[in-house]
Amino acid sequence: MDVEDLEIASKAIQGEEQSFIQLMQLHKKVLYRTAFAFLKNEHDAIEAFQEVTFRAYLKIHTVKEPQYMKTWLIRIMMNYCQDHLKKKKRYISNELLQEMGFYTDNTNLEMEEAIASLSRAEQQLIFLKYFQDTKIKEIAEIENIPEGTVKSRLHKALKSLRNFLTEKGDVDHV
Amino acid sequence: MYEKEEEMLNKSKQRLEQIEIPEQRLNDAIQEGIKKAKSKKRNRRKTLSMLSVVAILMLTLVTSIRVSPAFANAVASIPGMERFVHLIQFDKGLEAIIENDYYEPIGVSQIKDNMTFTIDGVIIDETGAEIFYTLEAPHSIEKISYEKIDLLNDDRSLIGSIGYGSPNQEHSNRKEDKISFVFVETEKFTSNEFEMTFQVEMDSKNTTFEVPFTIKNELKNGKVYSINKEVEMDGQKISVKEIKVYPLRVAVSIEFDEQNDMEILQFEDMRIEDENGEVWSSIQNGTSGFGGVENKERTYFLQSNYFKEPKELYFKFDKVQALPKDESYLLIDFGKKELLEQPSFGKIEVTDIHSNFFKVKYAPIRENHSYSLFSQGKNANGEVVDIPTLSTFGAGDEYEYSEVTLDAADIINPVKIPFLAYPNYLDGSVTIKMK
Repeated sequence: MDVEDLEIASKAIQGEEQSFIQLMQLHKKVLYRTAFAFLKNEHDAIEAFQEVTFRAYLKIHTVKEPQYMKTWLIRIMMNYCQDHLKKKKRYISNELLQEMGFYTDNTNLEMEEAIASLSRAEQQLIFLKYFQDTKIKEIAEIENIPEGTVKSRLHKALKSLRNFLTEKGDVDHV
Repeated sequence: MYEKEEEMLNKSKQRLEQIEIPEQRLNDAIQEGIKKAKSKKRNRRKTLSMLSVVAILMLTLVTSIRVSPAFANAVASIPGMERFVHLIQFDKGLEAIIENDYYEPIGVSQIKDNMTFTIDGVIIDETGAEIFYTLEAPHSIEKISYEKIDLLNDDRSLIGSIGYGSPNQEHSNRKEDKISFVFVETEKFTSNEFEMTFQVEMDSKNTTFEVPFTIKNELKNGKVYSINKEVEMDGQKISVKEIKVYPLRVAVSIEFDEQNDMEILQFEDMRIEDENGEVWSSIQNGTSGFGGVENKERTYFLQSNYFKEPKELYFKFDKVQALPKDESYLLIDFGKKELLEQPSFGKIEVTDIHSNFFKVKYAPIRENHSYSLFSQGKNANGEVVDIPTLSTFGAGDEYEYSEVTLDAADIINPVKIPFLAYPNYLDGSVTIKMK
C-alpha cells in the first residue's frame, strides 16, 4: 500500500467524507470482483457494493490499522455475500441451483462447487489468500491468531478442496 | 503439495480479473450507500425519541412454506392477492383474516410526478393496519427512499410504529409490498374515512401522495380477557393483566413486580393454546411488542386467533430469559478499553473494546432466531448513550457475533449497557386458563 493510499485510509477513519469517497473509488474494482465471485451476477454485485459502502461508512471509525483497510472492506463484502446467499437459499431451496453465467469451462465450475462446499471461514481464507494474494501475516493479525494457525487452516481448506474434487472424480491427481 | 488445486485457484482468479467493471454504476452506488448510511443515523434517533416505544424484537426468518387449501382458495378469490401471498403466509392470524374476508380490497390510485401509488387493499383494526400497496413508474425506482408515512382517521394522525420491508423487487420500476402500522394505544375510530400520506424521495426530490379510502367492512372490536393474575416463577412475580384478541394480533399486557431480584428479558415461547393443542405463538415477522426491559409494564403481541371459536384457551410460557438485576448489564470503560462488570454466567463473551465500539461472541441463543442484545446505554452521568448501529452475524454457525457501535459524543465513562436478551432462564413454567 503506498503512502497516499494510507493517508486516504487514515483520513477516512477520522470521518472525512471526501476521503471516504476516494477510498471507495480506490477499492471499488476489487470489491466488485469479490462480490461477483460469490454472487455471479452484475445486479446483485452492484447491490452488494452499495450495501458494503453503507456498512463501511457506519463502521469505518472502528478500523485500527489503516494499512489493512482493503482487507477490512473485502471481509465486510464476503460476510455480506455469504449472508445473502444463505438467505436466498432459504427461499429457493427447492429450485435448481442458479445458472452460473460466468464460468463456462467445467474445471472451473468444479472448483466453484468445491469452494462453495467449504465452511464460511474457509471460503474467506481461500479467497483472501488465492484471489487477493493477502499475506499470511496480515490474515493472522486481522483474525488475531498466530501465523501457524492460519497456515494449518489453509492446509486443511486445501485438503477439503482436494477431497471434494476427488470424490467428484472429475479431476485426476498426481 | 497442493499444486493442482493452487493452479486451479489461480485460473479462477485470472477469470475473475477479466470481468467487466460497471464503473458508473459503482460510482452511483457509492453515493447511494453514503446517503443511506447518513439517513439511517438520523432516522434511528428520530424514531427512538419520538415514539419512546421499543419493538422488542424484529425478525424476518422464514424456514418453511406451507399453504392450506382454505388459504389458497381465499387467495384465489381476491383479485390481485396472489402478488402479496408471501407477505402474509407466515402469520396464522393474517392467513385467517384472508380466509374470513376481513381483507378489504381498495384499489385507489394517485399519480404524481410521473409515479403511480395504489392502495391495493387494507386490513385494519383497533391495534393497527396493514396497507398493501403498489408504487410504479415508467422508469426505475430502485433508488427511491421512503420519507414520511402517516395514516389519518378524520384528519387525526394515528400514532404508532411504522414498519416496511425493502424486499428484492422483481421489477425495477415497481414496488409491491405492505406497510404495517402498529398503534401505541388501541384506537377508537370516529368514522370509516381514512387517508394515507406517503412521501418518497428520489434524486433529491420529494413527492407526497395523499390517498383517501373508505372502509366498508364492519370494524371488528377486540375480545378482552381480564386476567389480573399474579404468577411466581423462580421467585419472580409476574402479573398478567389483560389479554385482548383482535383480528391482527393478540396483545398481552404484563407487569413485573419491582421487588423482583431478576430482570426479565425475553419470553421465548409465550403462546396461546386451545383445547386441541393448537398453538398461536409470537409475531415472527414484525413488531412483537412494546416496552423495553426497563419498563415495569410491557405489551407482547401474539399471532391472532380472532376468527377461531375455541372452547378453552390457555396462555402459557416456559422459557423466560432473565438476569439478576445487579448483573444484568455490561459496564465498560471505553477510555481504558476495559470491561469492568459483566454477568457471572459467562454465556456472552466480550472480545474487543475500542473507543466507542465493542464486540461480543456467543453460542446461538435460539434456533432460527436472532436477538438484538442491546438497544442503548447509560453514561456515568445517567444520560442515554445511543447505539446507532448494532450488527449481528454468523447466524446458523457455531457462534454468533454482535458488533455494537455507540454514539461517541454521548460517552462519559464508565458506560452501563443493559442486556435485552441473555441465555439464562428462570425455572418453572406457567399456564393460565383464559376460558
